[in-house]
Amino acid sequence: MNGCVYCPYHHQNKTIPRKKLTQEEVRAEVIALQDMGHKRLAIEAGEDPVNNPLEYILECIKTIYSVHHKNGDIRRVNVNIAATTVENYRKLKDAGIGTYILFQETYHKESYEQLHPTGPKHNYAYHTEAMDRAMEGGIDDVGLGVLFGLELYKYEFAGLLMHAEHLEAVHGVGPHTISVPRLKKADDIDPDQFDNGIDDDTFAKITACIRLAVPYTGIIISTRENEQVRSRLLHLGVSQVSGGSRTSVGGYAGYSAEERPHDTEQFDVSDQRSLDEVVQWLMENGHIPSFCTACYREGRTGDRFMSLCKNGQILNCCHPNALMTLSEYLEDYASDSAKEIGYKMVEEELKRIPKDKVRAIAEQNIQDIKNSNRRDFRF
Amino acid sequence: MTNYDPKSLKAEEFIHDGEILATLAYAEENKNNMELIQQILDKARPQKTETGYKCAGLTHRVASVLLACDDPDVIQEIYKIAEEIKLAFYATVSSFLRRFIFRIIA
Repeated sequence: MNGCVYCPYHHQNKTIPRKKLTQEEVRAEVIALQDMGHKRLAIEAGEDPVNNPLEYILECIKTIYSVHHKNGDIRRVNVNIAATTVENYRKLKDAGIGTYILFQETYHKESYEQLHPTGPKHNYAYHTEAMDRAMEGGIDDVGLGVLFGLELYKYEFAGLLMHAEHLEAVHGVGPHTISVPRLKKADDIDPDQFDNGIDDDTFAKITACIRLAVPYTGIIISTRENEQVRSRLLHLGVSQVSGGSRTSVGGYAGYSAEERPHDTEQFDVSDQRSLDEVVQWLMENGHIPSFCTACYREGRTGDRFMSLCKNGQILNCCHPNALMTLSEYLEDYASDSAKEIGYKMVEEELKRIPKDKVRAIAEQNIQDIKNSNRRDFRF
Repeated sequence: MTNYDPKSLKAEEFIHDGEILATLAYAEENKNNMELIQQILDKARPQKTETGYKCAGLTHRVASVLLACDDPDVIQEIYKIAEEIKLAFYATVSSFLRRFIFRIIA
């Protein structure tokens, strides 16, 4: 119901089909995602209090956590929905969400108002203060992001860091993640009509500067970006990637890895590789793909996560957790070639765990993953 | 007129337009100030501690100076430190090998 001029879901677009998934359809999507090997996912939904009230989102979260197909399990549901009330944030927290993600789009108030001419999202202050309400509602992990290309990038960069400083000053904890989306081509949206588009070099520089300024945050890059850009940014501070993503509503169930539905897509996906290809690509480049969700489930969120991170403690459990969750993926979902590279990597990496006791437990758990249906080990 | 206040709960005070404009002006003025830039880079570097590493982070003011700087050597140094920071928190014990842990999301 918003009139966002940069998004094809804007309410005047009569050609894009609108779709709402039933709980049965949600279940089918989750099974398709689990069968790909996913353990974490993000719920995205447009703003529509009539067709899409918070109760619907809560019901979807419950459904998602309830599905266990084969050895599958969704262990962390992140939520990206419109700014809402403290009471609603509390309900999301109680439903067991991971990170609450809300992109600012632009920190420039006038541009913001022009870009959101109609609908509840028009209210700049309500949108910008959303993370404070989320934290008041008990959500410790919040994810920031601006859509680079709407305003001058230097303005957005300063605004983004000020937002992070504000959260730290008021709530004692900075953003759990920062996303760096760039404006993309989509149905009824032409990026050339926005003058502030940024080239790959500038994009790389922005990402690296965010890493220097906010060292403990997770930096997320999506499949909006192509393989080359993703490769480069992985060395400049990006720590989370999405893989095998679809941006259309209900884009997973009933489609093979090659075919993807386009009719309700929010934007073009540049990296169209399957999750297995992305996992293999990461490993071939010497990165350990991790499906870990341990911190959140052990209660290590918000400032507890940050203090562990700052004391170097994350290293003592992240590494074995990454190897154990990677082993689950290799055993249950990987192609033969990914499996071969993967287990070689796991074997080598196990040797690098400094504490003998931790190494022994991790080795035993990985043996159990290979030889039984026991899953979900964590430190 | 509002004042910039990071602790305020009002959007226009913690995302203060005047402060952003002053930051951009400061960044533009200092984008070739190599002495200052060197200090900023040094502050951003991960420092070894007994248990691991710690990083100081940068304020929006000084980070904006780095973003404004067009010197190719400085940009390379920014990239290098960005990778070092990631190594410090996500790498395995062997920092010679570029091994990072990535979290995968759907």
